[in-house]
Amino acid sequence: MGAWLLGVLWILPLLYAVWTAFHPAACATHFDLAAPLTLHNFRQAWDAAPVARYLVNTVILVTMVLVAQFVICTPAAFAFARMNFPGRDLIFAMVLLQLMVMPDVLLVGNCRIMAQLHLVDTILAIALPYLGSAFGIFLLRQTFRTVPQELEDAAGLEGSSLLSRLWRVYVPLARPTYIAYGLVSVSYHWNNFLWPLVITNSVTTRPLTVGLSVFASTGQGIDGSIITAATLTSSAPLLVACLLFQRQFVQSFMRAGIR
Amino acid sequence: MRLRGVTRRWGATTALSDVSLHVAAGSFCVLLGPSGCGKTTCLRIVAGLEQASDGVVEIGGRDVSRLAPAERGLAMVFQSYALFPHLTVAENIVFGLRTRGMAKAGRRARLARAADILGIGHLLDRRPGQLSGGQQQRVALGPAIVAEAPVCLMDEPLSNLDAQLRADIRREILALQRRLGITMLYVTDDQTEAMGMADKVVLLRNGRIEQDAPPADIYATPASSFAASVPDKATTLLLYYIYETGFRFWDTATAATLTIVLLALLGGLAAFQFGVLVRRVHYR
Repeated sequence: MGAWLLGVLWILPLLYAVWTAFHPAACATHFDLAAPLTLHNFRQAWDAAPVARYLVNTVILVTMVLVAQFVICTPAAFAFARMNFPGRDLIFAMVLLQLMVMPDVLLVGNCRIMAQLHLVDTILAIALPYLGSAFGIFLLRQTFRTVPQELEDAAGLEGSSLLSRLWRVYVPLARPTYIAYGLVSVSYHWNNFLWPLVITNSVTTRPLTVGLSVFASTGQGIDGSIITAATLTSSAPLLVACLLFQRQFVQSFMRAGIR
Repeated sequence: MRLRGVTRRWGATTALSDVSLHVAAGSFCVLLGPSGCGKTTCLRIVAGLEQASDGVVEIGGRDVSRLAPAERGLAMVFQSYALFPHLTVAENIVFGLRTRGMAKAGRRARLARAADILGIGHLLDRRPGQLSGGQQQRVALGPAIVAEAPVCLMDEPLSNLDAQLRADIRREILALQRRLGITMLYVTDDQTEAMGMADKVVLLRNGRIEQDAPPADIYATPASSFAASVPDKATTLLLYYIYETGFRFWDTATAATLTIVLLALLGGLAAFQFGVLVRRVHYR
């Protein structure tokens, strides 16, 4: 019962957004079931702002970040979990320290670095500060440590090289963690606002979040219907993915132990 | 297979000291000892999963001490079975063949043969999580069979099974080893297993070889009191218990007499048991 109440409370804004997006602006605030349905708002939003371009930008950004994070975090986590080298624990502690630094603190510093690299106003610039993730390394390290040593020994006896052991034994066994972490990462970067706002200033690089805010504040007046239509368009891909893969997601989170 | 003066140290502690042993081709050698005596370390050194601090490991007359595990030409069965949970039984069994780059036809032929030997043909498409303990154990022998390696190492492979299954699979492993002519090094802390399977028992204690002899000899002429305690530790404990009880109720002399009388009785029993053992060895 309580869960239902919470769920209804949580979904109300979304329902309201759906209501306003599909009805003419005149009907946005009085809930007349007979009000005519329309796709007009979507067409207007689509024409008024380069939503498609923003969507592509966001997808490129999120994919780039996710792939790079997996590629970088996997070997790092493996090294911290299963290899012996001097200073390992010290370096790992330093990686963990990074978890405690708020990204917003580094805004100016990062901006300066991007300027020096001549990367201002590129998608790469949005992604770059997030490519190596302390959280990802930590999470994967914990998972890799739970892989039985005997499995790796067995693969080694069968002639697997270090990389193939990593690829054939550790990565498949850590799949729930990859899914859970991937979800957290994708939703974080899909929603990330401040850093992209600072570092981008043209249509070809802006992700959805920044594009929408620009769209909502300039020259359009305050037409709630069009804004909600645009917002729905931008969050639809994530929503659909969530509904489709709901079960796998929940299971992954349970197994990976993050919520 | 031959070990010469193999020693393993971690800092101040010595896990294995100066272990030398020889396993004849096609014979079944059991490393026996209480937990923590270094038998698993010894096996891992032979496999190359750990480096010896000192000493030489030879397989087939070749010094393999500096070779990687995969280059030593041996198969290993692990205590926890080491089956990959994300692969099917068939994929698990041919995993090694794939990493060694064997063609698909060859892999399939060897898989079919191993499945036939182990009687697991109907399980090939399942995942390890869907198998019972006994089935998992049988599957775990698969990779060792398809590898067709001349030497096989087993690390307490039966310790997770119930008594009945243990006896069954013990017989199967033995039959398999005889049939395929494998040189076997087998680690266990179970005396019955050691006595029942081995051509030769190597008794380890505190990282040293206590005795290295066929099972019947260990029974008949133990090299030390520890070796003597192995065949029938229970008897020793019983005697001690009786002596203690006697001592508490009567004086020392009575307790001693009582113990000696019982010892004589048990000696008779032991002789009888030995007869049974000899017959069993012959039978095998």
